[in-house]
Amino acid sequence: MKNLIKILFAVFIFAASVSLAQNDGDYTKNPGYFDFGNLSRYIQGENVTEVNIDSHLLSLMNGSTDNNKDDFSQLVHGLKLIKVYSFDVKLDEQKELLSKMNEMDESLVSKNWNRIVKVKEPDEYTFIYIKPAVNNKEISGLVVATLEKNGKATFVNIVGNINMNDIGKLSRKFNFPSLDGKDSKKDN
Amino acid sequence: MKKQFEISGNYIDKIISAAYGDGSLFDKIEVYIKAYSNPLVKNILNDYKATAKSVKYVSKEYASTGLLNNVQCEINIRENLFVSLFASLYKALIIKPVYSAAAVIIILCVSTFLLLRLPKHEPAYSKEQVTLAEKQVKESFAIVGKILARTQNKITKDVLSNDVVRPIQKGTVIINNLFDGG
Repeated sequence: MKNLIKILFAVFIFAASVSLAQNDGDYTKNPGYFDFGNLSRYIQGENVTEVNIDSHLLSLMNGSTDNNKDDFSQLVHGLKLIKVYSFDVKLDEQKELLSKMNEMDESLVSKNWNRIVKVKEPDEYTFIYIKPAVNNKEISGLVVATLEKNGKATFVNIVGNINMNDIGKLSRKFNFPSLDGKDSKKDN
Repeated sequence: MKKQFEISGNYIDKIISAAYGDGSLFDKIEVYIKAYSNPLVKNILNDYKATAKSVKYVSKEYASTGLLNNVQCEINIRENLFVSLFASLYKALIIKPVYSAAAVIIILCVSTFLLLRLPKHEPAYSKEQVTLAEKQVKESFAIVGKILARTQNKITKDVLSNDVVRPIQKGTVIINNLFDGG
């Protein structure tokens, strides 16, 4: 009877893990994911950039548009989601958006995100957060929220295991400023 | 030498019950399996089945009151058969947990197998879509890079230069003047 219970337990664990594996595509459960809420009312006008690329599409990328395919594949390897909203905000809506950014700030800090940059000036607001992975060597998420003086707002969430060395590679490759302060070099 | 199967009185009762269809499910299965391998049991079973069949088709005018009572009994027994079937199932699944555990394991295995065979509904992307997505990824990194560059400049030039280095330099000049004056 004891053996039977053990077998039953093993089968149950197996079935549970299989059902969990079926939900692999659900990046919202990833610790590096952050929901910006409803930004649709601000996303109007012509200067709008909206990017939402999930892990399935990222896994298909082999750097075909890039000179160095291997580097690109390595850079996007491990990423689960890239979400970008960039848009112009009307002057009368900027105050409201700032209030929303402050709410996001509170929410992110309460969820143990590390705020690495907070710039609050009359004409510019920038918040940058990272979510450390369990091993503390990598980061599992990056959130960037800015509102520039010209009214351009940008919200970015990159989900997945991001190696700090890879960020350095990204900076050199796509005009990304490296964190060690060295000058970045535009590759494309 | 192979031992001859002996038919006991109890076993004869089981055969009769099976032939008339009023025995328990397990008894019936046991008798029919035995009849398949043992010609003696098969003959007895066939005899009783033939009798049961002839009793079943006796017309009412030839049937005596006693026979009708027997038929009534037969009907009651058939009703009881359903009760005994459920009783057997209840006994097998509830009273004996081994069977219920085995049933749960089988259900879990079948569910797991079906889950594994479920097709993943991942959208198919064309080469053009993937190429466009790659460009968007680079654009995303460029946007992040631009923000980080601007922030880095602000920190190194505005914050460090104006708010940290300049006051320190000013303080150093004041201290030097004090020493010179002293």
